[in-house]
Amino acid sequence: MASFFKQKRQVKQREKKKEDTGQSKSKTPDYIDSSISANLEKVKKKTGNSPDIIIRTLKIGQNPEIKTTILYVQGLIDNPSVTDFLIESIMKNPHLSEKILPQEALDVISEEVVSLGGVETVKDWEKLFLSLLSGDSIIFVDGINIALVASTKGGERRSIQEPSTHLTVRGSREGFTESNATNIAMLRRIINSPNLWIESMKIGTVTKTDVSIMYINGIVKEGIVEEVKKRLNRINIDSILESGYIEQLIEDQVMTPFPTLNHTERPDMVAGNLLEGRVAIFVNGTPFVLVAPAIFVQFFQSVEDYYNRFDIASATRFLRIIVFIISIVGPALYVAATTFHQEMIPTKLLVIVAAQRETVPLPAVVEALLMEMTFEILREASLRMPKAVGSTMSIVGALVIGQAAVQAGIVSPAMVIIVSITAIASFATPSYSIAISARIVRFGFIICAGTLGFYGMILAFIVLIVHLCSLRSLGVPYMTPLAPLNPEGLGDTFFRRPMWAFKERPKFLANENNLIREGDNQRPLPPESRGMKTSDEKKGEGNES
Amino acid sequence: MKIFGITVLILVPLVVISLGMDILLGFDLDNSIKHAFNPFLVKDPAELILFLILLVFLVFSFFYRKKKKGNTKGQQ
Amino acid sequence: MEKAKISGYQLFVLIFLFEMGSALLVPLAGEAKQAAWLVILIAMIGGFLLFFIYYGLFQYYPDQLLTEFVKQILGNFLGRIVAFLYILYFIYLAARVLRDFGDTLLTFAYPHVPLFFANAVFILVVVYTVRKGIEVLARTGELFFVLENLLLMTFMLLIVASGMIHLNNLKPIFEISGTELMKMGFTKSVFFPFGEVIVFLMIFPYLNEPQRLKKIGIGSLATSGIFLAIIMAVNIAVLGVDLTTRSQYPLLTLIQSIEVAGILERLDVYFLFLLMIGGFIKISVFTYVAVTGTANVFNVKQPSRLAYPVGIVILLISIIMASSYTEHIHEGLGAVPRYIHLPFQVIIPLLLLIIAFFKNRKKGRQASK
Repeated sequence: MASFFKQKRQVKQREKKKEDTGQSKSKTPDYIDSSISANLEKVKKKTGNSPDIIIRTLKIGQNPEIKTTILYVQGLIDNPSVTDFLIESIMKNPHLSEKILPQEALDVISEEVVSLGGVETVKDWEKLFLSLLSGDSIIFVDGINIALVASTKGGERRSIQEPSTHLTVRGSREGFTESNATNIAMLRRIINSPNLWIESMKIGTVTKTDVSIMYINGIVKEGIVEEVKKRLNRINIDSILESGYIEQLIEDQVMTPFPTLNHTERPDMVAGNLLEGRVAIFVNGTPFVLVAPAIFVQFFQSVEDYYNRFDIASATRFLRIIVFIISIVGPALYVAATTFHQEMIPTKLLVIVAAQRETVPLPAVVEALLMEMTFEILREASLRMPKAVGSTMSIVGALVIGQAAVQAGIVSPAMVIIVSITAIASFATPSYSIAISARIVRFGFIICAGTLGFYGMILAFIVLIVHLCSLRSLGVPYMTPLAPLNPEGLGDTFFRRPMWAFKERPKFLANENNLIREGDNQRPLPPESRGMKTSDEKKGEGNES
Repeated sequence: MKIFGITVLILVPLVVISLGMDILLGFDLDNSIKHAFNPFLVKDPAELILFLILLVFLVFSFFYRKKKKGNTKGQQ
Repeated sequence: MEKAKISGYQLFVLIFLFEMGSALLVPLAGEAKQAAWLVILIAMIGGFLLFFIYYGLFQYYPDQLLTEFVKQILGNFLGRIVAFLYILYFIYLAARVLRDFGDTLLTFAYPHVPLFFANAVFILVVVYTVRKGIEVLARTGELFFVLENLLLMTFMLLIVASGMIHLNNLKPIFEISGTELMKMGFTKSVFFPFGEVIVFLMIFPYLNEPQRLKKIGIGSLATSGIFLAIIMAVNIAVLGVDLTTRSQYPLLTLIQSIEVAGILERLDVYFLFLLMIGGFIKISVFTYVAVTGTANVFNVKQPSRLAYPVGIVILLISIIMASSYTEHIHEGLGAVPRYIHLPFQVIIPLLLLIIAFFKNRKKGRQASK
C-alpha cells in the first residue's frame, strides 16, 4: 500500500513540474511590473544577460520625459522593420515629442506610430518571452504594466530550393525549408481553399518548437485529426529537433523495421496526400513534413506517377515493387539455391557457378553476409564523409570489392553481381525510409536461407507478411487496400488507374460523405468526326472528305 | 502458475490419446511408450539445444507473466 | 472472446485456405481411382450437410463461441468437459497437420534435417501469428489467398502448355458402382477436409455480417471442393491412376514432371510454397481456436499468454503421435476418422443441435405465453 501512495505523489509532483516549465498554461501567471528598470532587470536575469538580446532605450515626451525601451533578439528580427518602422518612427513622431502621459504614449505608439503588421499587448512574462524569443520586438513604457509586442519576425533563412529527396523529372521544383511559416504558405499557394485548416501548438518543454497540423476540413476522416492531436498533446519531452522526434513518439507500433508514418520534402506530395484525406504535421526547423496515416503501398508511390500518363506510371510502379522484392530476397535466393537446392538451377548455369565457387573458402551464407556488410559499410561511410573524400571511397570500394576480392578468390564473381544488383535495387525505391527497412530485413532473409534454404526463406516471408498485416498507422491497417481488401483502392497500388477513372478518394482514408473527386464522363473524347465511321458523317473540321 | 496447470492438463490427455492410437493399431503399451518417446532419446546436439531453449522459454513465459501481473496489482 | 471483427470476404478466404491446406497435397479419395474427383464432389455435398448442422448451432447462439454455448446447452459442468474435449480435438488436429507437413518437407527436400527442428521453427511462426489475433490472421489470409491462387493458375497454365493432359486416363469413370462411390464420399473424405470446418464455430461470432454466413460458408466450401476435384482430376489425367494413388504426394510428382521450353523445370519450390501457405493457415487456425477456447474454458484474461504453451504442446504431440510416417498415415486413414472425427464432427454437434432445438423451443413457448 505504501508504494501506491508514493507513486501517486510522484505523479502529482510531475504534474507540478510540468506546470512550472510552462508546457501547460499556468494558472497564476507572472505579471509585468510597471517600473521599466525592474522589468529590464528581470529580463536580464532570466536570460543570463545574453548579449544577443538588444535593449534600446529611448526617451519620449517632454516634462517629464518618459523612458521607453525596445527589446529584441539580434538575428531573429527583420532589421529594416525594427529600425525603420519601430525605432525611427517612435523617435520622429510629433505626438511623442510633446507632453504626454505614459498611458497615452502606449496607445499612441500602438495605434499611430508602429507601422507594422501585428501589434499586441501582453501582461504576463511567459507570453512575453515566447514572443521575444521567436523574433518579435517588445516595447516597454515606463510606468505602465503592459508591454507591446510588435511582430518583426525575420532574419536569415535558407531560401526555397529544389528538394534533395523524392526527385522527379517532371513536377514542381520547390522543396520545403526549415521555416514553418514558409512551408505552410507553400501549401496555401497550392490549395487555395478556406477548408485548408491549420492548428498550431508548441511542443518541447525547453525548445517550445512550433508544430502545426494541417488538413482539409471535410475531406479528412472524422476522428483522425482528434487522434493526431491527442497523440501530440501526450508528448512531454524537452526538445523536438526534427520531425523524426514526433514520428517516433506518435507511431502505433514501436517494434518494427517499417516506417508507419511517411515524411516528405515536397509540397506537391503533401498537397496530394491532404487531398486523399491525410493529415500533415509541420515541425519548425526541418524541411521534412510528416504525413499520416501511411500505408505500405504509399511508399512506392512517387508524385511523378500522377504526372505521367497512367500506363507509364503503372509500369514504373510495378517495376519498383519487383525491385523492392529483389532488394529483400536477392542474396538470400542465391544462398538458398547454391547451398540447398542446386537442382533448381539449370545445369549449365550451375556448372558456371560451381566452378566459380570452387576456390571460395567460405560457405555461401558467410560470403553473402560478408559482402552485404562490406557494401553497407561503404554506403554508410560515403554518406557521412566530406564530399571530397567520397570519390576516393568509391574507387577504393570498387577496386577492393570488384577486383581484388574476386582475384584473391575470397568471394565469387556471381556473389559480386548479386550484391551489386541488390545494392542498386535498394536505391530504386522512391522512399528512403522503406529502402532502409528492406536492407535490414535482407539480412534476416540471408540468415534464414543459410540455415534452412527455401524452407527458411518462406518462413521468413510468412513472418514478414504477418508482421506487415499486424501494423497499423493511426488505426488504418498498414496493408490496406490489399488486406483488408478494398477493391476501389486497388486502382492506386501496383498500377495506377487512368486519371479520368479516379472517381473517388480512398474510402479508408477520406471522409465517407465526401468521396467524389471528379465528375462523370471525364474520359477525353476525340472529336466525333475522327476515326473510322461508316455513314451519316457530318463534315467536321478534321474530316478529310 | 495457472498457465502451467493448463498446459499440463492439456498435454497429459493428448499423450494418452496418441498412445491410445498406437494401442488401437495393435502395439502393446510398452512398445507404444517406447515409440512415443524414442524421438526425444536420439537427439543430436543442435536439436537438443533447441529443445532446451524452447523449454526454458516456456518456463520463462510462466514466470515473466506472473511477475508483470504482480506489478499491476501493486499499482491499483 | 477477442474484441475483433472480420469481414465476410476474410472468412471466405480463411475457410478456402483452410480446406485447401493439407488436402491439396495428399491423394484424396485415392481408392476411388478414376472417379476420385467425383468422390471429392460427393464429399463436398456431405460437407454442406455438416455445415448446416454447425450453421444451425450458430443460429441459436450467434454471438458465442463453441466453448461458450456448449455450456449453455449442456449446463456448466458437462459443458465445460465437452468444451475441453473440443480443445483437445483441435490441438490434436493441429499436431496432425504439423506432423503431415513436417514429414512431407523432410521426405521431399530436407532428408538431413531432424523432424523436431523443422516442426519447431514452423510452430514458432504460428505462435507469433496467433499472438497477433484473428484480425491479423484474416488479413494475412487475404494476401495468401491471392498468392495461392496465382500459384495454382500458373500450374494449370504450365501443365496445359506442356501438353501432358491425357483425358483418356480419366476413363472409365464408373468402374466402381455409384453406391460404392457414395459410401466412400460420405465416410472418409467428408471428414477430411470438409468436416474440419467445425473449428470455424469458434470464429463465426467474429463475423461482421452474420446474415451472410450461409452464403459465405457454402460458397467457400464449394469453391475449395471444386478446386480440389479439378486438381485431383488433372493429377489423374497427367499421371494416370496408378502413379497418382501410389505416390505419397501426387501434386509434387505432377509439379516435378512439368517441363516447359527447357527452362521451367524442377519447380519443387512452388510445391513447397503451396505446402507452407496451406499448412500455415491451417495450423494457425487450429492453434488460434485452441488458444481462445482454452482461455475461455479456464477463464484466462489474456489469451495471448497461452499461445506459446499451446504451441509447445502441439509441437510435442506432433512428435510423439507416431514413430514413423507410415504409422502416422495409417492412423490418419484408419482410427482417426472413425474414433475421433466421427464423434466430434457429427455425433456431438448433432446432439447439441437437437438439445438446443428443444431448449429454445421451450424458451420460445414460455416467451409467447
